[in-house]
Amino acid sequence: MSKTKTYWKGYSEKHQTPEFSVSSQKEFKDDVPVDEFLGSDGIDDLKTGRRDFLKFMGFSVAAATLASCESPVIKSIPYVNKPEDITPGVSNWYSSAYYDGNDFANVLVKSREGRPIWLKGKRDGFTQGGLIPRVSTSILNLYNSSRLNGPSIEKKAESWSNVDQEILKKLNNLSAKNGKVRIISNTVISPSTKSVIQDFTAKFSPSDDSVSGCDIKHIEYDPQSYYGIRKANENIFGKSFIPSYDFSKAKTIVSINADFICNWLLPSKFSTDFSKARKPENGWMSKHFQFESVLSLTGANSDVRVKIKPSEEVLVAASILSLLNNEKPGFNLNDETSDKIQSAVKSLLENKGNSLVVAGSNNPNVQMLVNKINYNLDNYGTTIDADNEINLFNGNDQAIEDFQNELLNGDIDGVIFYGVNPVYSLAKGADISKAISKLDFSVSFSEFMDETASVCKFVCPDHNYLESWCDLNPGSNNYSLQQPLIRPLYNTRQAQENLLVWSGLAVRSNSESQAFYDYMRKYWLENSIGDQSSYPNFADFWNWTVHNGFTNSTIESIPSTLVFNDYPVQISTQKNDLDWEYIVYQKELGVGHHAANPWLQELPDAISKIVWDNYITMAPSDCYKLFGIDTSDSKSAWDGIHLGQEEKAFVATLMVNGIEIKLPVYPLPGQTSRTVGVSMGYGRGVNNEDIGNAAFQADEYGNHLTNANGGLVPIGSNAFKLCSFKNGSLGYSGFGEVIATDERYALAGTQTHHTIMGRTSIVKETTYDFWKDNHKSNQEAYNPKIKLHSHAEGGHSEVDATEYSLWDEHPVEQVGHRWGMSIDLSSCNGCGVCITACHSENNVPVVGKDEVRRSRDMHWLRMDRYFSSIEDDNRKEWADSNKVEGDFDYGKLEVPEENPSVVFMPMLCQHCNHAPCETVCPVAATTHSNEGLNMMTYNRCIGTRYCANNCPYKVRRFNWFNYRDYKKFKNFNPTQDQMARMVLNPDVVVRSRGVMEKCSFCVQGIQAAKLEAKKEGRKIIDGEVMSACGDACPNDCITFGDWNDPESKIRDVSGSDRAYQALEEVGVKPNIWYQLKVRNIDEDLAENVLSDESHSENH
Amino acid sequence: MVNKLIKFSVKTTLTLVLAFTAFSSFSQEGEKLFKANCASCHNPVKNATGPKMQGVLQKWTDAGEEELIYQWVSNPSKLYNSGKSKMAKAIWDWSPTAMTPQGHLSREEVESIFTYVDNYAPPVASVGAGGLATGNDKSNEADSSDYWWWIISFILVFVLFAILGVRRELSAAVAAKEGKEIDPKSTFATNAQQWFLRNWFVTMLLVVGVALFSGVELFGRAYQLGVYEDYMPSQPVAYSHKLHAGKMGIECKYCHHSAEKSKHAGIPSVNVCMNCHAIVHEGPEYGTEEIDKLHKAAGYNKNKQAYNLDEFGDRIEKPIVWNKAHNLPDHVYFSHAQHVHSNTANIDCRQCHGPVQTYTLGRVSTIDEVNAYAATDDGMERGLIQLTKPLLTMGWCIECHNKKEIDLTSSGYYEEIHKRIKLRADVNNKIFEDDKVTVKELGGWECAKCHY
Repeated sequence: MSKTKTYWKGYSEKHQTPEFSVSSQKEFKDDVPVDEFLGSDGIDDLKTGRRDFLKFMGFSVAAATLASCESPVIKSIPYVNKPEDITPGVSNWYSSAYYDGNDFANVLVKSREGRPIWLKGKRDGFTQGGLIPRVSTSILNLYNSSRLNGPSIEKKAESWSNVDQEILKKLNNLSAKNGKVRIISNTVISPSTKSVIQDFTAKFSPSDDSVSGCDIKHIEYDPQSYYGIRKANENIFGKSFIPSYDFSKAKTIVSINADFICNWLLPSKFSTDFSKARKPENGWMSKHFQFESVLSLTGANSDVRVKIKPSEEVLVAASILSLLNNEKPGFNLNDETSDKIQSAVKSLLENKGNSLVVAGSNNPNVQMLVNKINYNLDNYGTTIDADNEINLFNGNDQAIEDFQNELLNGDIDGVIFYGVNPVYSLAKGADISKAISKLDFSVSFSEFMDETASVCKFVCPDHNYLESWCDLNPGSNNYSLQQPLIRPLYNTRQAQENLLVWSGLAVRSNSESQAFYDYMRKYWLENSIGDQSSYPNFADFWNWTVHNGFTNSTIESIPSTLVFNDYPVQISTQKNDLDWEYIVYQKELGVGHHAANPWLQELPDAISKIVWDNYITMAPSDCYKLFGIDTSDSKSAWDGIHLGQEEKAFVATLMVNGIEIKLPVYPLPGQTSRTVGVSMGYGRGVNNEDIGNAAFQADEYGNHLTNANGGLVPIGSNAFKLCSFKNGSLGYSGFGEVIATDERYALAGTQTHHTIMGRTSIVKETTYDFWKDNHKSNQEAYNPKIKLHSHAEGGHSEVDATEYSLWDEHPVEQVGHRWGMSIDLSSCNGCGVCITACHSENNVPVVGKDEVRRSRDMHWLRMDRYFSSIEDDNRKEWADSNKVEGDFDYGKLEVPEENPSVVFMPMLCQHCNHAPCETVCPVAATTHSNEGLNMMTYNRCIGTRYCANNCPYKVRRFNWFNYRDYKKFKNFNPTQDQMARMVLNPDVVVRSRGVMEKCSFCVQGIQAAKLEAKKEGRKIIDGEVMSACGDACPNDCITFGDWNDPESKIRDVSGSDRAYQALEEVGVKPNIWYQLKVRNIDEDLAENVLSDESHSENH
Repeated sequence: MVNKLIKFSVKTTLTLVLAFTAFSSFSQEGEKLFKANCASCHNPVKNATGPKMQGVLQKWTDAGEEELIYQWVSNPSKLYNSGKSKMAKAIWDWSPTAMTPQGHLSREEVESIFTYVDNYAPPVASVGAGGLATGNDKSNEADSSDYWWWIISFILVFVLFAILGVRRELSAAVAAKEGKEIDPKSTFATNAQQWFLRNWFVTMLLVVGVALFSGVELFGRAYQLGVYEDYMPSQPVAYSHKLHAGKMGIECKYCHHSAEKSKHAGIPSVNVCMNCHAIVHEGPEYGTEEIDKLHKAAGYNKNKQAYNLDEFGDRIEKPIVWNKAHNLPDHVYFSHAQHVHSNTANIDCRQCHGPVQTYTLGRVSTIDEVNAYAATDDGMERGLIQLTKPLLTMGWCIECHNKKEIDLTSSGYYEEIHKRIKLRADVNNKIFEDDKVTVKELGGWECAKCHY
């Protein structure tokens, strides 16, 4: 028999000292306070000198090298039963569709060995190739390791069968006592899902009154609501609907606070349509007026931008209407706004019947005015199609307000949440949370234990969209299909299947259950959805629809005649004691679904270039006043609010009806004075809800920040708290107070300068009228070649700068291939899809906020945003001051004006044929290929960074850390997550620390296309090779191809009248051309051309 | 001597080959067809899934059914069911597997297959293969002798110190006898130091020698880092290439079927194994032991000849975890398709993998084996190039890229490139200087062709 022995590791354990019992609870020792140790004076006295340190370092490196000689055994696991259409190492493409209640897009998804890794917009279907960053990065959401793995009851994991039983029990109980049950979902655009919900409702609330049953109501709810449009149409045309808008046909566009390029209604389509009308070669260009408060992406792309306050939206619309009716608008608007309204009206009238007026407001009054304007301009039937409705955003604010009141009054017995998170996205979220937790029956279908799910009794996690079958009907005629790209990663079930199972219409099987799929097929067959008649049988039709991703219904809709009803509109000239106005706007992050998506968080905001943060936007002049900056000199005033690595942002508090939001302030040129903007979608996970590690703030060591209670600190604040119901609709703006605080907060931006600082050879632009007059005869007038002075022939002559070079010609012309790219600045609207597409295609590391602050962002492609101005004071000042030697300050060129115009310029490695980086590399790690590529060989690079110093475009990125292992990046770098690392592209290496990296022109794609051509024994077809950025670009701004193919499109555009090369005077002979930007404004740019000449004279 | 022998045999074979060119071209056709259509079940000289094929034609002729055999090949079950052939019945009863009908083969093609099979001689263990076996043993010996060297050196050092100690004692004794003063502090170390100081030239030589030796050794060893030659990791299933590719003559691309489509040649999935092993349950060496592992992975019940299914009707499978033999670093992009597809480089597998038909498990060959194989008739016929650098190193890759020629007239792709090169003779005349265009001259030495 053995004796019972006690083991201990030390005396403290044996005697169970208090210190031991504390420390035994921790897995790791407290951090060693390195700062104190390093900061102590004693460090100077230490015997280990720098040289010794280096010796030890050298030794340990040698030791580590020797130790690593033993190679690890690498495992390889082939399929047991290989699917016929998968070949390891070859990508498959599947069409699908993205829909999350806020965005819709037809997409084409790239799958490798069964893992979706990249997506782009599908060039047909409803959105015609349209894509926005939210959809582009959505693929990473699939691999979020915080997704729920299985259902739970009161947060305790349960099996699906138990959950089913419990839920049925509750439902039957509720039926017995005629309980009130509400299904709250986002707008359901899936016909089959609607039918499932109807079946479920019918099962538990029979229409037969004699039978007891629940009172079930399905309420659709959109956090970013468009109820105002539906309500306005109901009042004016007697029908609650959203028509489809065609920005590609509109010759004059007037937008009142609608950011349709990135966020309003259906940006994935509107952005593309808008761009189509921005190519001067069409023979016409749309003219775009934007009236807005916060400088949005749409405002940045407009020809005329007018700063208004949110409360003036209605006045602007009313003024336009009055002017159209030949009345004198008697509204209190400032002179500039009134002027611009007049020129807008003039332009609208010139293009009567081909213009478009839209408004972003959710206020039915504004939308009714807009309807009247459009009706007045005969736009219905041309740019506005009332017969082809957009089915998105069917949310009824009134109904959701009623639901909120019922819930808070305790009148509701049960609730089911599907695709919505009202605890987060409604202003009274905290109260709603309490009310839900009191309910006996509450179900959430959320993929995460989010704000709403965590107070629900039952959580039945749904599949990700890339794991589900679903049909989507985004617009009247279009039926798109979502098809699963991967088996469910977790123990989840599709929400529709749950409802079917609970209604007794399906039996639960394994995770690959086809219950809803079968239901959907049956529904399509029975309701003859889509173009079934063109196919011999349903199976054929179905397979082709899955293949194409959509079908268009063939039923000819009879054009309805709109009956116009001149519904009276209340034009309230709101007066308020508070003189600040706020507006809650949507930006890249959307309404908060993607808060934990590191790709999206690290995508710089299109205008502010800030990453990983939420902030208050404020006019610089307001900042000066609010924070007491000395404004005697414009330069020093601007410096006072400058954000940089050392200069932190001011922090202000926005107070609205007792609700406080404290955020850093971003001085935004173009912001209307006395207004502030706060973006929605931030501040997720206030109560530590597990929605993904990247949704929370991390310190400079990569650990999550914690608040006083030990909870995690979300990124930004929840601006939905300010969006309360106003007269039956959700309001996103209002009056408030802004109070300065003494605090400072570090914001991380990828671009800290603002204007092009006088270097006009980077961005060239002209006006449409000027271009039209000169593009055949006098290109030099708007696209001047940069000249150098030559004395070669004795006298003085001017020679094209490109004729001089330090190097011999690089033999790429007409040799083999020569890959070239052209970027059209005129149709590029800066949306940033190219950045996210590049990010995921090339395994670009996510570095986090702290590293971005140190200017160590890794984007291979960046979107430079330059503020400029037609009456460019700075440039004039520069020209003037340049006359007096020594009296010139480049810094002054940094100060953008109050309402600047904006240029976006995608900047990536220019693959110079005379690349300055190549000549300075001591180890020949960056060299030139015979195909014109500037190659970067990571395994040869020793990290001297000479190349980055020598690059005139600053597009080389140094890989500072081992991002996939170093703990600093554990919370947001996808390579550090078992799940998220599945998103990596296996054709591109994950670079390690200490090497320089940069755009490779997607050489993996070039090589693959060449191989395909070789295998098929043919030459490469033009258009076959495309870089990831160009492939994803919804607006076809990027042309890529083999310049040596005389038939190629790139050869054609590289010689066009708008083509120029950035900084061509440097003589590096890039393989990238830009097509200069054309704006449709009346003022001519003669002044600018003049200053360009003075520029070159000073060389 | 051996070389002479090889040369002689090569010459003889060449003469023979020339003499029978006509025959061999027919036989080559037959070989191709055999490998494409028959080899997965038949071996010319051994019974496999199907009976051995050599002499089959004779047997049928003997049975007076010479004409029926062609009917059998094109549709076995039809012939069997017709009942007019005794041979068909005999084979039907012999094998539990029904032969796949080969109706797409013309009579001439079937004849050429029979010609090939009847003239087939199993490959004699070649010189290269013999060298391989001993080479392997040698390397193992070298490993074990290393160990002995250490022991002997240790003993020698011990003896040396013992002798030195004795010498010191003796000299101390002599000194004491002669009445000289003995330095009490004198130790081995001080003595040695004094000796080295006295003989400074020897010391210098020694130091330089040791430094040189260790430098060269370190350099040489560093060069071996990451070199995987002769690497043969253990595997969960004792699969033998020798049996399948060697004895049975199954084409490489039957199992590694993505080689022409993808960058990966692919470790075959279990369902490929099951094409044969659904019927073949026993192997020549391990009996049922190893094949049972396959069946377990596939979820196959060999007694019922059916797959085990779970409650939802899916097969109960368990993937096999293999150990990868050919490991390239992550920063290297290598594509099999680029190298083996008939429209691209069209390189024989053995150029890089050596005589795989002689190995058991998956194994990285050595450059010597590949060169030895390249020197054989077969190797020369396949156009293998002799290289010097160790296998799977970059030096080896680019060495081949420097030697391998590209036929610029071969396909549409290269034709276009050729056309463009000719446009700029001034820049490109170097390429045509030596009448051949190598991979290197078209950019095959450029970093971003493989590193991205």
